[in-house]
Amino acid sequence: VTRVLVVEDSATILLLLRTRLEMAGYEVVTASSGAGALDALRDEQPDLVVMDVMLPGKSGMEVLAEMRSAGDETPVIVCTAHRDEADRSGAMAAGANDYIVKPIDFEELFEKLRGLLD
Amino acid sequence: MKGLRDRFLNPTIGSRLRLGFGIMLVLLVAVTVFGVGRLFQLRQDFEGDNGRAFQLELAAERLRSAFILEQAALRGSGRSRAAKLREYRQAADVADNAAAAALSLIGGDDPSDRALRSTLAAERRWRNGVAGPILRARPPNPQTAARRAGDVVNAVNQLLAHQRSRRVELRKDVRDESRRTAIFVLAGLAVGFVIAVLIFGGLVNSMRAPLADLVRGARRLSSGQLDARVEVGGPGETAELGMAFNEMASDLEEASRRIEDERQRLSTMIESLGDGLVTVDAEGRITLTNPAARAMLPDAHPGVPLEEAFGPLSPDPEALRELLAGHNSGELRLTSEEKVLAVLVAPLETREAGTVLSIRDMSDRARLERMKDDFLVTVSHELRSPLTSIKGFAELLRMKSKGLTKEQSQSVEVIEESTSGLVELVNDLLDLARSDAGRLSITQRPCDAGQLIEDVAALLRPRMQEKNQDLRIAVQDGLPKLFADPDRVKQILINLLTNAHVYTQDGGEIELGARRVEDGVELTVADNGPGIPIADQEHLFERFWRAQAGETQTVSGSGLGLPIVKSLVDLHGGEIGIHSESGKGTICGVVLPSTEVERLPEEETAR
Repeated sequence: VTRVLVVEDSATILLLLRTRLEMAGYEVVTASSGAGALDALRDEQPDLVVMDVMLPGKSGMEVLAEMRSAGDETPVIVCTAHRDEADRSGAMAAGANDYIVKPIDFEELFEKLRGLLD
Repeated sequence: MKGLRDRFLNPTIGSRLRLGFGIMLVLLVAVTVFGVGRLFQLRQDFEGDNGRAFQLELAAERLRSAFILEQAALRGSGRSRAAKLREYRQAADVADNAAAAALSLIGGDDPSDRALRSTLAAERRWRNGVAGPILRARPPNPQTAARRAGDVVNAVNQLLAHQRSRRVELRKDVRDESRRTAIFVLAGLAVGFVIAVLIFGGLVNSMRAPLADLVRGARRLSSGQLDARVEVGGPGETAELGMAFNEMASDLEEASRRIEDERQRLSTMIESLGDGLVTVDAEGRITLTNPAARAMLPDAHPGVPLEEAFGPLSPDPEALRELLAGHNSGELRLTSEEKVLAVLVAPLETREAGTVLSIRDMSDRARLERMKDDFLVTVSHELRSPLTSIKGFAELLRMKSKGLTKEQSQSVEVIEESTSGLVELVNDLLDLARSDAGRLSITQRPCDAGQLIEDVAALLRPRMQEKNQDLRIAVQDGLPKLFADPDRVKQILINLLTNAHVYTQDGGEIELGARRVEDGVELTVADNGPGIPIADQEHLFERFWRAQAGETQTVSGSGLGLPIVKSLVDLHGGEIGIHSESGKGTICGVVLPSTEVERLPEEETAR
């Protein structure tokens, strides 16, 4: 079973993501802050991370930077509010493997998940 | 009257000159005429006197000869008495005639004259009275005759001596008189000359002071002392010149005061202007600033090069120099962390080349615009999370629609549709806000126009079918690749196609096309809808403006589609054109660069 870590500070969106991912057959672990994400990465060893860019405390970008500098190459899909933000925030440059834009198109998300996990 | 009196009291230079010359001429002529006449008269008199004296002398000589001949006739032997008498008589006649001639010539009162006259009278008396009767008969006694002749000869000799001395005297008199006349003429000429000199000297003298005054006045005027006036005086023209000078100086002072007033007014206006005003000379140095300009540019002092005054705001120096050198007006925008200044540059149309810059502080406006953009960005960001939830959970509901009633399913569909509309609106707003802020970015790369058209057609075909609209695709063969941002091209096509779909009636025809043009590739969206009324066409790119699709039909959509399309096309350096004919349809064409003509976008892509 593929384990996906979802990092998202909004409880409803977290619920939505968890529901859809579980419906699609993924095992889901969650975190709602940057620090929590780093803990979950260490404890849960996920196969893939779906992470919001805007997080309270440590931002998604910082988490990503810490992961990559620690040699953690787990694929990461960042979730941004606008297409431009993925480019402008430098998420792709910082080591994200892909991005999706809110409101989330789940078909697109699943396609990208499949692509990264193959 | 007054003029006449003035002229009399203050004669003109001309009349003074005429007077001087006139007096000199009259004196010259008078003295000359008198002198010449006098000399002529003297000569006449002298010649008359001299002639008369000469004749008198001649007569006297003749008389003396006659008497000597008389004596000679009486003397001698060997001749008869009768012959002697005849000769004597002849000689006596000659002597009588000579005596008569001499007497007629003696006019003087000199003792010698008187002596000759009385001697001759005595002789005549003797001849007529005593000697006459005897003489007719025989010659007189030679002793008596000799004595008498001796008297006459003595008297004649006396007269001749007197005449000679008189002639000498006459000549001397004439010489003296001539000399006196010459002296008189010279003296007259000298007097005329002196009078003329006095008149001319007086004239020059009377002009000298006023002229010097005028020269001083003119110098003072030219050195800027406009209150300089001269004392009016001197001969007519000089006085007039003085008056004219004073008038001119007054006019000049008045004009200068007016100019000064005007300058003051302008200066006050410039000083109180809200916009900054800076003038620059031909070398690019500041010549004038107003308080507003100094507030905006603290380093703007006269003499400082404009580029320095702009300080940290300093724009592209090349562009600035070009503007300053040019003869056309232009605009410049200076931006720094805390300031945004809009600068209007206009050449000064004066003899000394220069430029006037009018500076408006746009900082507040720029800040407001930034706030507006930030607000829009924030709002659309904040809307995304709830929208994600609504959309996601509506989808979830639809996925489990088996457990829902038909009404509930329809409600879910409405929620999903509305959410899609809302998402589009938020996206559009965000795009526009970014476009305004210059933060909308594109990433150009080669992409296949045909493929993009297929993708968009596939995406929208289901909606077309709902209205039974026929969507056709016409892509030219051998089309070059677009050099564009594929996502943005899709966005453009979706917007245009959505418009065509919305505004075209049920069962209408819509065509998506692509063809090679000079500047790249033209993508076209054509429909056979109602067309856009001419009056509406100018509003097409206005935000939130929507065309009426018909009398009753309401149109959905934000009214942001075409403005966004235009922004995106501009970002690509492309062009958009809409051609519409009422009742026949609309064709909308967008020209984008192709890999054949990699045109640089108009604005650098924002980073």
